[in-house]
Amino acid sequence: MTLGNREFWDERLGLQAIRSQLLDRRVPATVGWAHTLGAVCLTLILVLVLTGILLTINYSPDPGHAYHSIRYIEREIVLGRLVRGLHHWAASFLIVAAVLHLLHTFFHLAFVRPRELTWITGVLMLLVILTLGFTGYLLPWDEKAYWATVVGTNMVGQTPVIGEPLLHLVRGGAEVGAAALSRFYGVHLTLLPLALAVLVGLHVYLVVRHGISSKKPESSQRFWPNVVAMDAVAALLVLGLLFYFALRFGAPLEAPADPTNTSYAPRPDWYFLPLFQLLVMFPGSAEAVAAVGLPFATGVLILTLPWWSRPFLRSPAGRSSLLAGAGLASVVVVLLGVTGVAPMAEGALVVDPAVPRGRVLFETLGCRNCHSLRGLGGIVGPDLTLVGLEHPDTVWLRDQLRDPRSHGPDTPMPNFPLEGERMSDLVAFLWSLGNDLRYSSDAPRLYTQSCSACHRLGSQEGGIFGPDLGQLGKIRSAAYVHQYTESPSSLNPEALMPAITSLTHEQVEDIARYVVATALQGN
Amino acid sequence: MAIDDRRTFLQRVILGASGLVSGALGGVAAGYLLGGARRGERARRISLIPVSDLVPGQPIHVDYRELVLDAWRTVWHSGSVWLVRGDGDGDVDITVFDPRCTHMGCPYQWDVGGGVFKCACHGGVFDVDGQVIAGPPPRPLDRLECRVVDGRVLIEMGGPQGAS
Repeated sequence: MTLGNREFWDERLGLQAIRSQLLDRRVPATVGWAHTLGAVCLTLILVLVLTGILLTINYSPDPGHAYHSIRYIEREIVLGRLVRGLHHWAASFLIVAAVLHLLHTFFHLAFVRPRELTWITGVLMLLVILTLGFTGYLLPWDEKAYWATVVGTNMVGQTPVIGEPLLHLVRGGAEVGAAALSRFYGVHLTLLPLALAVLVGLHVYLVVRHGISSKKPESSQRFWPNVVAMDAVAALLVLGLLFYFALRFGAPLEAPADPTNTSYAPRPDWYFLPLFQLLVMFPGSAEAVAAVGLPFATGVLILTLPWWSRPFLRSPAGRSSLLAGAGLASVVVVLLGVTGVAPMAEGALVVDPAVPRGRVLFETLGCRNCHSLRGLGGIVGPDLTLVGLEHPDTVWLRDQLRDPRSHGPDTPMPNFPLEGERMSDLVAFLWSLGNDLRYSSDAPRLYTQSCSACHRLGSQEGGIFGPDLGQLGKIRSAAYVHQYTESPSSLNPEALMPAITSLTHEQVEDIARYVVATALQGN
Repeated sequence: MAIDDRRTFLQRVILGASGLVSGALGGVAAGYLLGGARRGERARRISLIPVSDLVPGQPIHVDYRELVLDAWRTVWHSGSVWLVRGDGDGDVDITVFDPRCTHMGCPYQWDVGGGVFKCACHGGVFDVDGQVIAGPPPRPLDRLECRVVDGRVLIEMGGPQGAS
């Protein structure tokens, strides 16, 4: 009655029956290395569940904290970077393995009677996995996560008739915000893994029940240990590759999500690129076809394959055309995805991620209780809209935060003794405020020479042919003013202002910054 | 290769491969869970109240606020200590007590009438020097380092205990 005694466990768990049904069975001799794809998928799912559990222990699903908790995992938790990297790459590897497994099954025609349900559970699993991917990559709440979710959920909203309510259900509201993050996280942790577990159980049961299909079904080999050994080695190799990718490349993390960023080019994760690109081909009112119609139709087509393929499989010619058609469709999908890799418009500015991180700190530390930005905030301390322009000195900014009394002995501002990266992030943010409006000492003179004949600038005298530019900077960026100056009709077809061609590009930029800064400093 | 040898070899392959896989994943999980965060507590000084506010022999409860890193959040964190000034005439003798009872960490109160600290959780009682008079606490009240600078009490914190 010792614990090592096989009969002890067999009496209680019925292990002998499980062993003979599962392990001692025979499978066709044609089962080879390609058939290990199923076991590889299972191993990757195991890795995702394990690393997922480890990540949830240190993650916070709130828009204010999600990003920082991910950085905490990456930088401060021992092996955190590795765990996150394993989770990220295992997801991509799983999708590749699952699709290869599906194609292998398809090309061997293993979906025909009596294996239709095995096929269906498999396709449903692929859909669940893709949804796990979609819900998962919102969680870091970085730029890519936020914008890819905005676009992805907008596509859901394109569904005819039920699009609006469906969009609200998926987002938990009109916008992608706290409710969206919360429900994506909840679904990613509970509903989808449960569905996957049920489907995996069904799928494996059906595979064992119906046996592995083969062109030579009468041949046989032992499942244990022959095929299991192949599965084990394949799993080990894939895991090795996975560790390599996780250690070498890690998981990406961009700047924190910024809904006001107009220069970002959203891109979904690679496995949604073909779908994303489809939207380019169906512009205007036909968009719903691409966003919803085609994907839905494809899904239904693949799911019901065992039935509509029957007429094709009756003849060798039909069989070939079916396989050729599927091959062609796969190539088209891959090409579509490849064309989607590069953004279609220029102008994704490279932003130092310290600046948006610093902005988050600015908000969470309560700076707005005393200071305002563009007039919004408290009035105890000065407005900080152009603090980077007025104090372009990171040492000064650092000292002002750490010990405000070193610059003004009577100031009521408390000390903010931030450490390390937190201090440099906040300083980077403050330094960026107005920094892009830095103009040279020539700017006022250039303005007077070129512009004041027609324009006043607030308290500065000038002509009355054009509008007073004194408040312009509050509603227009320097880039806008620059372009307007060089070509007014490009932005306003009814403009009476002539294009200013006598100045160089740099001089126009200088004047534009001067005009905008003047408006912002005047408030 | 004889069939039995082949069987044994393949069984060993399975054992080896699954052992490596479990070992790698288990090791990663163990390291991640037990490794903890890399950052330690940094030492810092917190300025409290003027010494002149203290009445000898009468402990008072003092709150303070400091900016701390709580995992991934930078927040204003409130803490408190008990301060008591000694009766002696010579140099100013200040004791700073950690406000958590040394038994299970409950906050305790100063009983003015009885002249003792009392903990409501399990009936622990400490005298004005923090010594255990009654109840289950296993050791006297924990003390914090302090000094007097420019007439103000300054406490020093840092190390594993952290803010209270």
